[in-house]
Amino acid sequence: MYEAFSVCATEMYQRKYIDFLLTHYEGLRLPFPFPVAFGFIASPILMANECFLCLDDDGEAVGAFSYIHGTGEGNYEDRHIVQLQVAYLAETHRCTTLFLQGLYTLVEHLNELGEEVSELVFWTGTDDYTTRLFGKFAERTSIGESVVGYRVALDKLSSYLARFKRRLS
Amino acid sequence: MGRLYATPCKQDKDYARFASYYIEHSHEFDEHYPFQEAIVHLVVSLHESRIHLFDDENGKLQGFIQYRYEADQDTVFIESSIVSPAYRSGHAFYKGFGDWLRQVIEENNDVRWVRLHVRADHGYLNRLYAKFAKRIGERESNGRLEAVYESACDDLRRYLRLDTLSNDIK
Repeated sequence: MYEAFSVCATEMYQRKYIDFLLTHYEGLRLPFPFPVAFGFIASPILMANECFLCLDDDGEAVGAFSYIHGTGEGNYEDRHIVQLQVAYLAETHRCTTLFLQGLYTLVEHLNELGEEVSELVFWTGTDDYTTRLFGKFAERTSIGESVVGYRVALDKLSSYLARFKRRLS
Repeated sequence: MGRLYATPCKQDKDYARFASYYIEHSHEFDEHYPFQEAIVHLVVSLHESRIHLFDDENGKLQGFIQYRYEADQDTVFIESSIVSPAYRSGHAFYKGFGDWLRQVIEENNDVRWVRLHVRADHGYLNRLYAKFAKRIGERESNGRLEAVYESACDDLRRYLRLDTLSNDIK
């Protein structure tokens, strides 16, 4: 079994991205009403940056994530901060290697961009497993009833991933 | 051709499968209907609209009517509607449309007008709508010319025979 992450460079892959997330919508457990959550998932398509898919060797989507430049608070002008909109791996494919590979794909992509990106922000659920997992490399910025906010400097995330270099090559 | 079953769109999973179906079938409106336009339509319209779903015997979505009430509450406007080609028949149309209207009247007894629009150059649908509604004008939407039709709710009820006892056509 071989899976790989790649950016959704064509409409066909963007369609696959949105279809995958809609198929697994309940598993996303986004704590917003559907219209809001859909806006969140769809905005990288509308803002032309950027969706990623993890495909298995049959070309089927088993994971997806996306980001946009800028934050709501910064009126999307703070483009050096990248906001992760959604990230999901199908249950059958949830393993450390794929998780790290996804992060690595994102970091490599951001490092190769023409414009400077210094920070990544994102939100997760509040369960212990999740907060332990993301607490390994990101700093908690807010703790709410249903979401925890994080930030991580891009170079710090790069250093963290460098530890797993052998696993990721 | 199998039966279609009207299903409410209340839970997230229903919205999710509606969104999937809409994106996949939006080329029915216009073969060049852009993917981005489908996304924008959903982002913009989902907040205010209600959706009436039609599932087949296997619970798979085969059609929908997306609608909303105008500000004054006495007009219901059909924003969009698609039915999978395999389920298009005069019979299914009347039954499905009737199901929907019944739902609307239950939701909002004050409704007096039903308005819908269609691509002005779609011969078949224009002829169909003209059977139960009056063409009241035209509008431009995303570069497409559309005809706007309107029917009094009472007239439509009579046309769809909602008030008769045996209106459950098999």
